[in-house]
Amino acid sequence: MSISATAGLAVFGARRAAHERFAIAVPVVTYALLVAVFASIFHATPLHELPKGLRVDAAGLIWYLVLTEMTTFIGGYTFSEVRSDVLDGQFTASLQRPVSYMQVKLAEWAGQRMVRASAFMTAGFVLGWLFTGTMPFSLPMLPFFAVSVLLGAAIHSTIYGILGVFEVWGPYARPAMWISQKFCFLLGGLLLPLSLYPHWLQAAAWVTPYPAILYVSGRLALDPDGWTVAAGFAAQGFWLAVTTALAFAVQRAAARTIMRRGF
Amino acid sequence: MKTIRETIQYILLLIPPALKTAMQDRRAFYSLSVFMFLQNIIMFMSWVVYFSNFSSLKGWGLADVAVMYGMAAFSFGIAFLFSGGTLDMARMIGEGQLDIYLGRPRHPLPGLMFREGRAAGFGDMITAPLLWVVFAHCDVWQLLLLTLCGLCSGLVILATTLVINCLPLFFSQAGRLNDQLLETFTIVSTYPQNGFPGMVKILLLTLVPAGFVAFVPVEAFKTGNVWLFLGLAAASVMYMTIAVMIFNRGLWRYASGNRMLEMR
Repeated sequence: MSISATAGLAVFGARRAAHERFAIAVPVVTYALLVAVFASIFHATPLHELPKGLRVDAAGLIWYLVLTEMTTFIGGYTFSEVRSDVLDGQFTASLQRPVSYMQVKLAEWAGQRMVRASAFMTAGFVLGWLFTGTMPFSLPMLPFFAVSVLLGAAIHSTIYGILGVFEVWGPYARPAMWISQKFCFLLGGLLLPLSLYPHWLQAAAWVTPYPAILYVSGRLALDPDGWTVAAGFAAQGFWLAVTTALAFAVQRAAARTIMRRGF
Repeated sequence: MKTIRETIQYILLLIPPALKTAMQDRRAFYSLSVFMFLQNIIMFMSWVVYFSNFSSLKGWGLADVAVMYGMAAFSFGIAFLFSGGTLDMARMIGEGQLDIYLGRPRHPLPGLMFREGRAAGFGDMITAPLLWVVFAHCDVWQLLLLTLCGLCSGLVILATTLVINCLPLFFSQAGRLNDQLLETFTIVSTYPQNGFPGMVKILLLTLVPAGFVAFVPVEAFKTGNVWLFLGLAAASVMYMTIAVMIFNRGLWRYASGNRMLEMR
């Protein structure tokens, strides 16, 4: 697919997301509620009990959660779309087209993510400032945060897209999504930074793509130095390449199943 | 009183077919149950990590959060294992499918709510005893007590879900609002509420009754306060009564979907 076609699909995706305002506005409210819930939890947490090397304050943890939840909300919408496409035959119909289903979707999602990101980033920064009264980073660091969150969201939406395709093989997509989502929350460090996890769990987490989705961007709120940013981008780039390759492989496998089965 | 008894008898008759629908595809039933159970355990591990770093959360320890999380899982599970139709009511109202139930001699609500069961509910239900025994070290009597509380909380969840799914009867533009509201209710119900400010707690014990799913049962269990148990039982009956009243009021506004021919 040419670059202009990819860009065209991305613009189409962005326009669609901008049109479906309700589908963004309501999750923004849920996002705000979650941040409020955890702000109260972190304010009530005895953070002084942490060992000296790991010490963080409530504001740091709230900003961490603002970023991890933001990434989840920006990227986590593709599953239902793909699953519906499989169930109502759109996925099968797409096999006749010259451009692969996954190529089209990945381009559309890139556009959609930009619109969703603008809404959730605005909400996130307002919420973070509201609940902490602080800003953990300087203005020049802002683009790095934005890129990190967008890369995390891209990996997240690609994984969800892959899981949606699982419906081709039977009613397994939803259970697979539940498990992946919860592993993402746990191993990605949605609520608490991975640095607070036991060492064995940290080691287990780093062999999965989940820290690249959530922890990498969240950590920037706690430790925003150049090395953290560079290492984070490298991890995110690696997992984005792996998950994108996997998405095409899963799509090919699903297409083979449909061709063999006949539907 | 006679009407209530008859309604309960009717619901008891509707439950076995609802369960059968949930178990129709055995493979799907077991896979959904197992995966729901696993996802609950994985999510709970976040709290295990939290309490490996911190001794308490405003007086609550891991055992209390296990009781709360198990309570939420059990209540949501039991509510939708038997009454999965409640989750789908807004869509049915939107598509004018109430006609099929309005043509029946009984009140349409039990038929609508207990139309089908959700297999994942079973996975939720079996999470609870594990959390209660392993993390909260409950004995048999405590398990029984928690199960009773879970039944009351399940009723509060059903009532809330019913009210949320009645929205299309009042607002034609309700769209997917019901899904989002239910998701929000679920989120608030599954996190420790003891850290919330007083005003929020009041809100969670009145307008958004998530407090009766998590906060009240855990506090009642922790303190052994009989009044809290009685309050939970009374709240479950009260919220269900209000929900039925709202549904009945909404029915007056329902415009037929012209689906009477599908009545059977």
